[in-house]
Amino acid sequence: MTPEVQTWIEVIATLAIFSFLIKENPFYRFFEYTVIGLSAAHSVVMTWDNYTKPFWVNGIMKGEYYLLVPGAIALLYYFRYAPPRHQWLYRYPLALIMGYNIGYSLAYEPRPFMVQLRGTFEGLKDLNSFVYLLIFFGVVVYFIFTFGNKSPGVNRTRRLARYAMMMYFGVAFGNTVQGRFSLLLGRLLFLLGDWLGLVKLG
Amino acid sequence: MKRQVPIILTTVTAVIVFFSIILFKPDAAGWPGKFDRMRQFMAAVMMFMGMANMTRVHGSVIRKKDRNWMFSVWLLVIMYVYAIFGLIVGNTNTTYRWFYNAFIPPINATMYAMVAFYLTSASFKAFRARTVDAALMMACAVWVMISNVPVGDMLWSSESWLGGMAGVRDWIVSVPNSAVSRGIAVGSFLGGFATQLRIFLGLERRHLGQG
Repeated sequence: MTPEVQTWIEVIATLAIFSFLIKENPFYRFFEYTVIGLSAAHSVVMTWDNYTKPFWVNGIMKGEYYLLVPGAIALLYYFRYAPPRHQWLYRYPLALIMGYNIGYSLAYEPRPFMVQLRGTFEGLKDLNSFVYLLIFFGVVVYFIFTFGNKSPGVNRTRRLARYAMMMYFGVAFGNTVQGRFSLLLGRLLFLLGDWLGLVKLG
Repeated sequence: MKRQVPIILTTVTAVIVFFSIILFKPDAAGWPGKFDRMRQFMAAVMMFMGMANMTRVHGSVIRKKDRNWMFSVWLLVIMYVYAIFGLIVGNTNTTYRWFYNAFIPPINATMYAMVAFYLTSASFKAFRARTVDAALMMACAVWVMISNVPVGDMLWSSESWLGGMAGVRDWIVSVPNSAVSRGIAVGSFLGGFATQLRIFLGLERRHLGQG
């Protein structure tokens, strides 16, 4: 299978996906379902190659037999789709993973949070650092006092935080739009350059 | 047995993992490393869940002969063929990579690129500066978009007062934006920490489902 065939498949797939802009059609749907199927399969293959197989070959086969216990418990997760009588078994591996994540987070997460807090109060020397502290304080107040509050001080602080957050969302929106347009230009360059050869990049 | 044991198991596991991290060295051979490997192996064993769910959902569509059921047949066929092929030959195989490169990155890139059109049309509808909030959001979005492209520098040069459009953009990003970002991070940390404590104490049980 040559690179030319690959380019043609990419062109057909790209045009099929763009055809959705006119209206939904079978051409688009075919490639949509194709990429969903391939992506699901690809994630399984990658997990098998990068985790399951190395764990089996380099772990269990070399004496790490304790891994068989969590492995066997993890298999219970497939009871999620068993008949209702046996479905409850899927809760055991879920409980173990949830317990691990909670224990891990309770041990490790507070530190970066404290570092962030300390960093906010460090180096208060110019106007920008005071503006920074004011907005940070306002946003924290905004999220803590989410319920109705009659205090004018809290309400003013929340309003200031809301304005700052709208600026934040505006910047995020602008960056997202530009990111998507950058991808669009990439696809157009592929069609006009790699495929039709009308555009040549220096 | 069905509900109480998993709740107790969650708490006991959390306590064991927490103290193993606090009390032992965080190296791969120690208990924290072993627990981490156990968790990773469990996740690796669960890897077929996505495919199992797809088979269940699309199998139901095919059985009921719902709209577009033929595409569901195609999805299941291509998913199983590609997965079995990949599991046999490995993800570094040339043919496997060829199919990956021909389909997945270009279609994903095109799908994300297509969102640009919908974002543009949505912004025309949403960006009506009726309130101060909406006006601020619109102004910042427009400012960032213009200052990121050469025309922004033509309108207000970066070598002039305040560093031009790019200078103001940099200030917005590094001062108010960064402060909001940190505030949201702290807010979400507090929310997440409270939820974790609720699960730890057995007060939050929704992750274990109904029944």
